[in-house]
Amino acid sequence: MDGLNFSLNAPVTSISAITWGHLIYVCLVVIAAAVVSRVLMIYLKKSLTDKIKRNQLDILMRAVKYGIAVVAFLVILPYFEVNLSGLLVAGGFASIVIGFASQSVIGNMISGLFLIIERPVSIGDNINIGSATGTVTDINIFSTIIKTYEGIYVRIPNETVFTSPITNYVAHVARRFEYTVGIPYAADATVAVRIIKEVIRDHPLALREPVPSVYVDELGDNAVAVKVRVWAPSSEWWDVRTELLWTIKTELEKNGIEIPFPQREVWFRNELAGRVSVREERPSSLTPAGDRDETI
Amino acid sequence: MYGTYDFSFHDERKDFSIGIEHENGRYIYRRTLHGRTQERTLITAGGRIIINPVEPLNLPKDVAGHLLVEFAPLAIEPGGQETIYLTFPIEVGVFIAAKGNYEVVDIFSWNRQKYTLYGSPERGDLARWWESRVSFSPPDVDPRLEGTLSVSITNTTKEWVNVSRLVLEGYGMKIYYGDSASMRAWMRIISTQVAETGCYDAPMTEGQHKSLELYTARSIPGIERSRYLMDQGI
Repeated sequence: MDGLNFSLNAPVTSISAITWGHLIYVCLVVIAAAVVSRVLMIYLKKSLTDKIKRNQLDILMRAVKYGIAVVAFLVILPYFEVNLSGLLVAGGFASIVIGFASQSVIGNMISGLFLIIERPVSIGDNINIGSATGTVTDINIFSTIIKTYEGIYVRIPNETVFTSPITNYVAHVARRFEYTVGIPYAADATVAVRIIKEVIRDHPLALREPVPSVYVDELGDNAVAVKVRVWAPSSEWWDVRTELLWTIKTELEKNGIEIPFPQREVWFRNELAGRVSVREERPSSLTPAGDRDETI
Repeated sequence: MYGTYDFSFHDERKDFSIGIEHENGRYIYRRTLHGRTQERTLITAGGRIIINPVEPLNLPKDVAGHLLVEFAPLAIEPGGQETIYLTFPIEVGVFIAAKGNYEVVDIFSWNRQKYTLYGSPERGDLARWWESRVSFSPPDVDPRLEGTLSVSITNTTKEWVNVSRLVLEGYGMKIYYGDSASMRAWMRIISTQVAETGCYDAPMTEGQHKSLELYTARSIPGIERSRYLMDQGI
């Protein structure tokens, strides 16, 4: 029974000045901070999800969460009788030791800080780093998390992110894409260009400016190559690209311009002697010119 | 068509119908335009339906926060001030209101949408593009397709300035409606390439009602700017 008969002013251990009362107070502060943090997170999510961008909301929530944690830490610190000046000296020494012991961890952390300052990528951006391509779902102090387009979780240490070339596909509000559309040599390229321009003009998200360009780019082996270059909002470019391509194909066909298949004309170098016989039983309508059954 | 109605509301015109029907104890909002039907089941004991023009930045997708109106170039003398009349595209918002709150249930338009980039890809802004004629008195408009936009232009520079476009911030748009929609804007030319724009929160003519706003409802007070700085050409 003696064990249960303790006072709130009694020290927790014989060598510590922390009393049971302090310990309960500290626990209450930690619980209160956790509850306030949780409530604020829910409130921010509820009230701001449809008002600000997801990445901005994440940054705001994280700032609030860490802010509450820092305040709670400062509130409970005096109860542990921590000498801040001693802590600074100890911290300085410890940082040297830790720095040598965990260079990569510190490197990742420093890189993370620089990434946060420089902001080459933000949460929600579509990026490529090394072999990983996908959407940034989180930027932590040590690592950057990417969800690939196949839905795979990829964690990249911030040091790697910081030192690698980064391609950010949505850093600019608009981006360009292009296709090459082949039309037959017999078709009127001017008409094809006009039809394609009309299709682009009618698509709401194919941007009016920068002006799209449609032009004959190459006289190819099998077709006249028409180059189509269109700008679209970065967030929508893939949908615009796929929608436009099929619409261009169908509109060209509606106007009698078929996309040609690869074809090759073969000429014999020498006139070869031989007997030519035409099969009489084959209906002439099914035998196109130049496709006769010739025995040479 | 704009206004506040009870749930018995129904309107039918050529290629268009809108209304609320009571089916199996539920209210069904139904709108048909050019053969395409939008339907929404409303779980409510009753309420009102509000139809008014909204900021024309929602269709086919919410990709841009600005409206760019392009018009025939105007040369304005140094220190000159003039009010011109342009048009802006109409998007109609349908709101359901009950128990002191409202929610948008549908947005539609008779217009075709087109978007553009104001400025460069790295520094520019996406904007809904609209081509307008210029008038010096309120123009006749087709209320289904366009609203009247009066713009008070002030040239604060000591040079002649050519103006051929106006960009408005979505959060700052204040649309009023009666038989047709209207908006009052201002443009202050700061240099030959830079101007500041904004909207007045006032009707163009007496008796017009203020539209419920989509963008302002989504905004956080004090964060979004209602003015726009056209610093990439006017």
